[in-house]
Amino acid sequence: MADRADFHRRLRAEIAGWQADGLISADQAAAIRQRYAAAAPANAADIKADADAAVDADSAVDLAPGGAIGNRVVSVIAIMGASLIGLGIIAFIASNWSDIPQPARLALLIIGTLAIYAVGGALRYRWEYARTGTALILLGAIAYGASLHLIAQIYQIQVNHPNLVPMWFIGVIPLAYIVRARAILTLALALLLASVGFRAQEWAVGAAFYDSAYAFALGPAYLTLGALLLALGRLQSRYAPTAIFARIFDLAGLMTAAAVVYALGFNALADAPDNLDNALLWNGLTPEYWTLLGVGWAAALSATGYVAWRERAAAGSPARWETAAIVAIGLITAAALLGLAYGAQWLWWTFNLVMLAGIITMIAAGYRWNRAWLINLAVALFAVTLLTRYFELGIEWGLLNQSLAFIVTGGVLLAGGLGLEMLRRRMVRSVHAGRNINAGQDGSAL
Amino acid sequence: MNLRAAWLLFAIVVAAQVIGLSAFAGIREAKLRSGVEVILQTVPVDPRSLLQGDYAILDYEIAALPDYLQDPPPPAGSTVSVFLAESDNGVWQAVDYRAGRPLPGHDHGGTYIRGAVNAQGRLNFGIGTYFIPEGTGHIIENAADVKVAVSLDADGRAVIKRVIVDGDEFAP
Repeated sequence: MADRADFHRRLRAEIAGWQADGLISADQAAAIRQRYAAAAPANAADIKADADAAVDADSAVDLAPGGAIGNRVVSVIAIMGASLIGLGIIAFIASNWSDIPQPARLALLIIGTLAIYAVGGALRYRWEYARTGTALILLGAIAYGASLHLIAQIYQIQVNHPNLVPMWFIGVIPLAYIVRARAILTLALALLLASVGFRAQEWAVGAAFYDSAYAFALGPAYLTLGALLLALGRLQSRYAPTAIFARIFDLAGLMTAAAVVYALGFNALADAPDNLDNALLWNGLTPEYWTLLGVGWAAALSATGYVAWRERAAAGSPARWETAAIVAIGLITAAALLGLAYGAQWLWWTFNLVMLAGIITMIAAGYRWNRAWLINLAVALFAVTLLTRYFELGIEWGLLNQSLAFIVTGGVLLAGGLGLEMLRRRMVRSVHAGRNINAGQDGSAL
Repeated sequence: MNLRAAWLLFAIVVAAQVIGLSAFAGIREAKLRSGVEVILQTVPVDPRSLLQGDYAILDYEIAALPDYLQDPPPPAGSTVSVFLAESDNGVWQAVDYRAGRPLPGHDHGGTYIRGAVNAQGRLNFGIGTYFIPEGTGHIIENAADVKVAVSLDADGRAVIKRVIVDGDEFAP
């Protein structure tokens, strides 16, 4: 049963990949899915894979010659164009050009935003130019944020006011789901993450004006957000209408958590709470800060618990791994809070080990669940961490100690690589023995 | 979700955004027009915001807490009301500082501005920045005397009306 569920999940992922690479058409993809549909077990991962495949198939309807790749190129070019124009609008506002009176600038931008949305909506919904229409709606979302900042500029609202980016986020997030556009969702999640940074200047008043301590105080807040995003991604993967957004949430959640662990792995940052009065730092955390942590963790654990409960009987479900990832982020959050309260010098080497363990776990999970993006993310994190630590540890420890640490860690990784290769070889043999028709595809994933 | 419903929801969100933007501007405009105007002495410096461009940081003379409020100092984030009176040269000076906000309907002897204590123990009135056209910061930075005219509402909240540089309104 587990092998069959695994086979169907991987088949779906492969079909989406073949279609994306232009190896098969949308019709052929649908035919292959239909052939295996009767025997397919239904679980969240399948729903997600089906939804992803359906999106690709849907994309193929107005496909120009060149298949799904052609579609993606159109999307990418249109989104790049929208992003450039959006940045141009923001730079125009930032220049505070005095030749146009401020009321005229305000009217221009609000009417311009409305016009961009109108053209984008018409292209998207009336004339069926879905990709260009979506890119224009993304541009409208950027113009909306620019308008907010222009009004703040005209009325001399304090620079980087903590309410501006949250207001931008609240305006954009419904659009992502209505238009069903991952690019708009990416903008919305970036705004959400930035919102916490802007709001936090009022949440961690004890750390304000001490850059390193302030950054450290942000750690638990961002870890909470990372866990919440990851949990919401898992929850949305269960439902066909939202499954297309799951990967963006997964990626945002994991990258947020990884960025915090990476940052807290710097010795200088870990020193920050120790260089200040810990009581001042701890007592300076406001009720809003604790509310974010409490509500964030309650929501993350509820969503994860719900998915784990619904998936409890599904063979081959990744729910256990996902739950473990959320719990691990929770433990890291608790450790960072302890660092804030009692001093954090012990944390920097702990977080470096956590980073290494997290990277290895991401590679293992990517391999186990056939998610190439997870492996790519882990490799990128490893490269950045390795380069950073090479220079940092050389200064902190001296070259001899650094040499020892790198050789031991490298030996552990080499042993892990050997273990993975042995596993792969065993699976390839099992293909030849006809015991698992799917093992060959696993091997190719590496 | 069918196409018609999606189009309708899209239109509702866009309309909400435009109404929100208009309301945001309208509320600030109303505050600007209806408040009491006071002129405050300030010392500016000149940095840049990536989203909003060049601006001057305005540090007000009245932002320093008096000795009688320093023992013990009010916690960061708490509100302090500063009561103002106009001096002979037209600049408004602080005549009294009180922790918290005045009670509604209680006579506290005139015009006041509300500030929040920051981590450095000074008051932040929400009027600490003034946006300027690109490349004009040196005019404010090199000036001998910079004053700010602000509009105060009945609740002690301030909005900047204009900046006065060496006696003239700043209009580069």
